[in-house]
Amino acid sequence: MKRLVELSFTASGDLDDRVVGLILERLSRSELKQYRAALMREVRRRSVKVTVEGGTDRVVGDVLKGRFPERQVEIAHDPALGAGVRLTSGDDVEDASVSGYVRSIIEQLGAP
Amino acid sequence: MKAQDLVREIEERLSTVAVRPGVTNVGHVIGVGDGIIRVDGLSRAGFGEQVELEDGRRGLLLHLEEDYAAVLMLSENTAVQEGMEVRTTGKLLSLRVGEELLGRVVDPFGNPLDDRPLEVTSGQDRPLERIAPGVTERKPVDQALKTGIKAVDALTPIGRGQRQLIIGDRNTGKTALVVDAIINQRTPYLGLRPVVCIYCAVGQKRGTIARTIARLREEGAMPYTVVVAASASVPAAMQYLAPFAACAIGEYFMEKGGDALVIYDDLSRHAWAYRQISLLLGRPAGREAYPGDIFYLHSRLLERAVRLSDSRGGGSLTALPLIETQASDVSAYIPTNVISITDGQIYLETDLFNAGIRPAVNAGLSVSRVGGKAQSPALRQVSGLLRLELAQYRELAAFSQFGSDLDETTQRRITRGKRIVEILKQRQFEPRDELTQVVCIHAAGAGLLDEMPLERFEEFERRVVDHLRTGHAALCDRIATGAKMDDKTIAELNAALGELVRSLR
Repeated sequence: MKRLVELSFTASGDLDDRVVGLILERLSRSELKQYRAALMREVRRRSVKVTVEGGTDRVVGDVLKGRFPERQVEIAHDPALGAGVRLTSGDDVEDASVSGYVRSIIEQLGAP
Repeated sequence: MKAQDLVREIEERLSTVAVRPGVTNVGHVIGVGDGIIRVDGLSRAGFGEQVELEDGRRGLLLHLEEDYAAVLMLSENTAVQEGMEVRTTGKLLSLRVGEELLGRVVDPFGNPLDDRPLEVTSGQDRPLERIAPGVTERKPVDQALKTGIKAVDALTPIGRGQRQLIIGDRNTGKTALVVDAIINQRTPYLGLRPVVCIYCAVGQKRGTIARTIARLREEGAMPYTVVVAASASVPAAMQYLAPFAACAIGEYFMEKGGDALVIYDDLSRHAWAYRQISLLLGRPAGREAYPGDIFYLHSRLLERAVRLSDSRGGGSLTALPLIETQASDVSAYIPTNVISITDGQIYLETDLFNAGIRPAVNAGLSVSRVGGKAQSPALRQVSGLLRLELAQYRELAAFSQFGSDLDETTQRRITRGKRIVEILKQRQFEPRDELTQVVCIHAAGAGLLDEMPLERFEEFERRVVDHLRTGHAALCDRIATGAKMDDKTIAELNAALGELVRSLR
């Protein structure tokens, strides 16, 4: 399944429609479920999601594209973030937002 | 913590803010089962790590596969939905332990179950799972942990730091025996430290647990006891974790230099809970459908029972696991596992129980590998030949049932054996002190009671200490020290007991 997922991407990192189409035709229903899950994991691994409160899209986007040149950078808005930024890369989340900081304080204080 | 203190602490932290991004590893729920959820992602999570769902529910990572991780939910999982975010916490499962737990009934996370608020301000967070102390941190078991039960203290003595299994069919008095052991810790023994007791109820009916707690309260045992309860009606995860929580509580008191006694009532049900979890996790089933690591589960738990060396404070943690057998089959999987892990077993037999011998301890199948080292010299002296006498009696008693003529020696042995059996009988919730135990066992073993009718034994036991204290106070004091009795003391004791026996004949 890992090999199929590798083959599903082009050299530039985009999904190859032709290969994916061929795979979809040949896999059984249960195999397709596994393929879908593996593909989703790989897509998440190759992309970086940047969550900001709003209004700083272009600045943040430019900075992060420079930092992750080989990954797709997606920018999302979350008004509850306070200030700061949250980066999601694969299944790792780096939270440098005010809401994340407040939550960490609450956790340290042992509150629910 | 008061609201003002809390606000002040938050303000202090905010005033010195140095924002470093918090890094977490996340995953998403892809399947929900009975107490188990499957999670995609969590590529950096560790085995046994605590995870948190986006709604605040907690889980324990128990199974890692290439494509998914399986999380054991620590609360109801009815509202968990596919796609929910799950994040790692970097923490092992732990509970807050302190002196405030004494006298309380808690669940495996330390939440009170006795309808009273509980705030543990002193003490510390203790991980439920922990590596047992190594050999260099231990010292030999040589101090007695008295149960107050004559048959146990004389035949299979328990030492502080020992692991002694209590095994038998249902309704043979296993719980009664351990409850007696807890009650007996009310009075310190021969100048040794008091013992903190932790009673862990796993998979029992709530009513049964409530009755045990009520009895402990009635007997005044709760002030030095903590009850960790995971009844049959709570999720298997809680039943699985309860013994580890009880052990963590015991370790807290042990590491403070004290002595703790942890009772796991019982590990058969604990094994059932773990089997349920393992089958739900999709692990391969082995013998009796238990998973392959069931031995490791119990050995890593019981290996934490220890007597620490003086450099580590000299505390001890004694473990009394209970195992329920089916149709007296001690060769089943879990009984043999736990027998091989522990330092001895007390085997309670249904036939003896039904014959009115209580506690129904089978002296032949019961053993304590620590043995006499955990007895006072006086008790060791009087109970030395007891096991042999009992074994001979059982063998001869079987032959005597044929009704053939018996020679005088055989008849004497049978008479003596009957009296030893009788003197070892004891009512529930009536633990005996050192003096009573030494005197009664000496009287039966030395043949002083051979002429006394069996029905007068209870009266003898009731009156013996008063009789000695009234007329022979100095002798009593000498015996009560637990020191080995010299010939003069024995002669004096025989004479004193003779007076009482004559009056009871």
